Amino acid sequence: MTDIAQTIDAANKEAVRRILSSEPVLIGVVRASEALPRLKAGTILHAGPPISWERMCGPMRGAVTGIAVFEGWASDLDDAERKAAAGAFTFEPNHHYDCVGPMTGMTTSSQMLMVVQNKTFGNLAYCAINEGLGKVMRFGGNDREVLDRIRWLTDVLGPALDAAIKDMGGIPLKAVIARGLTMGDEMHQRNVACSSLLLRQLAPALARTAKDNETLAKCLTFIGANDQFFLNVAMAMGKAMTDPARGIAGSSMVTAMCRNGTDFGIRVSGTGDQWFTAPVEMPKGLYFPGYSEADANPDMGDSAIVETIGLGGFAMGAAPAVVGFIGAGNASEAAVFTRAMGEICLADNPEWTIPSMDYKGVPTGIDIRLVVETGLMPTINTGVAHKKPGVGQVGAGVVKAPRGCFEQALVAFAATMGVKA
Amino acid sequence: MSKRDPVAGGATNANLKPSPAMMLLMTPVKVVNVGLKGFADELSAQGVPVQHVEWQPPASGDPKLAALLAKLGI
Repeated sequence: MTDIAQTIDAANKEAVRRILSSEPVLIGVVRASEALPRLKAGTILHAGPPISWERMCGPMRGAVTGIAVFEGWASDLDDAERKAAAGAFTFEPNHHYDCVGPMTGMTTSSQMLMVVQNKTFGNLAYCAINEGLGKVMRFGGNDREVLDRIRWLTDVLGPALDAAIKDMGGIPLKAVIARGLTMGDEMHQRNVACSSLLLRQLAPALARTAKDNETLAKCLTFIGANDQFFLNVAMAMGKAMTDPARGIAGSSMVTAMCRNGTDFGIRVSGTGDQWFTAPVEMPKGLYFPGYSEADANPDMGDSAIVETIGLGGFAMGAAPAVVGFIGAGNASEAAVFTRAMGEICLADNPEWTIPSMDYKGVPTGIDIRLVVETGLMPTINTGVAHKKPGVGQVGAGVVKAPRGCFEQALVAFAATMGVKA
Repeated sequence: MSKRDPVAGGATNANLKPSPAMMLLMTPVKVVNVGLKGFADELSAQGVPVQHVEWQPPASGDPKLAALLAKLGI
């Protein structure tokens, strides 16, 4: 092995060690303005790599106008659109603020954010509370019903969850994930087991701390009716686990993957916080009755952070039921996805295993060198948004990360190692 | 009786041993297909057992990227 190869090998071992030794704990729910002093009024954090208003897709624009009205920065959606076009708002990626957000991923100062602390390294990561299914802002929804729900999350559920989580002294998440994998979740498009496990832990504490029985009943009903409630917890966990692995000189491991509906972006440990972007692809999957690929928007969201830590499409072998839901083939082929992703990863996670694959650990730590060499692109399980603002989710599917991101990253990474072609 | 190529011409002499190529076609075919999946799909459609191996040239055949990978330990 050459000196360069040895350096990369050692750096990647350290990057993987930081992910695998992480101890993520859900410690509370906090208002964004308190948690993120840099996040000012008029700043809107979005999913994916940086993007201007002019290049935003329909659902992203729909969410931006909706959240601007919610925050009181615009009188109505038309006013919000005019102001956005006139440059009244500042747009930045969630990732620049220790945050992540699903699909459109709107994060603004008034919202309540779930907080995950990585106890091993002390860092914090944030994600808003999952809104449920149907017409929601993460899919570009922005009408009164959508805004009222976010208001309720902010005013009622967020504080109630915070009190319950603090009453419990925090909720360690690794064990929840380990159990969820044995119950058919992959934590991206299937979170029914983890959502139930979380609710089972939360319910007694919510009962102890809720202001009244009616509030308690509404909180329990909301969480219990949302199979994807745990997704946002898993995302904050993923961000908390990958952030300590950023900026390791010589590491070719991916530390973030995300999409904004226009571009797909990745970050690589050895190249710091530089984004490598390429046009995002269209998910391939199944559509709800009445919709087709003609209605679909290209892929969106910071949720691919779960694939970055070995879940989602990388843990498909644990979740045969999701293969059918997202139209990725036969349930018996679920393990094929996981094995393929193992070809581009540096390690298996011994704590997160898949029983039906003889307790193989989920493949962890994407190496850009292996992606470019094999041509196997990371597989991401995803929801599909309608391309028009305000319509919402129209299906679910699988999307591949675009090759261009990894090829650009490889060239830049090589330069950091003093290597040219 | 002249000997004829059993593969090319169809041997008539019963004492002639079939060539390895002919033997292959006289037994059920088992196929491993490497690369283009279309070949595997065609065989599957005809009921031929086929194991497909997803493969493409390293770095998608890009010599510059392949050279970089070689210098980066791959």
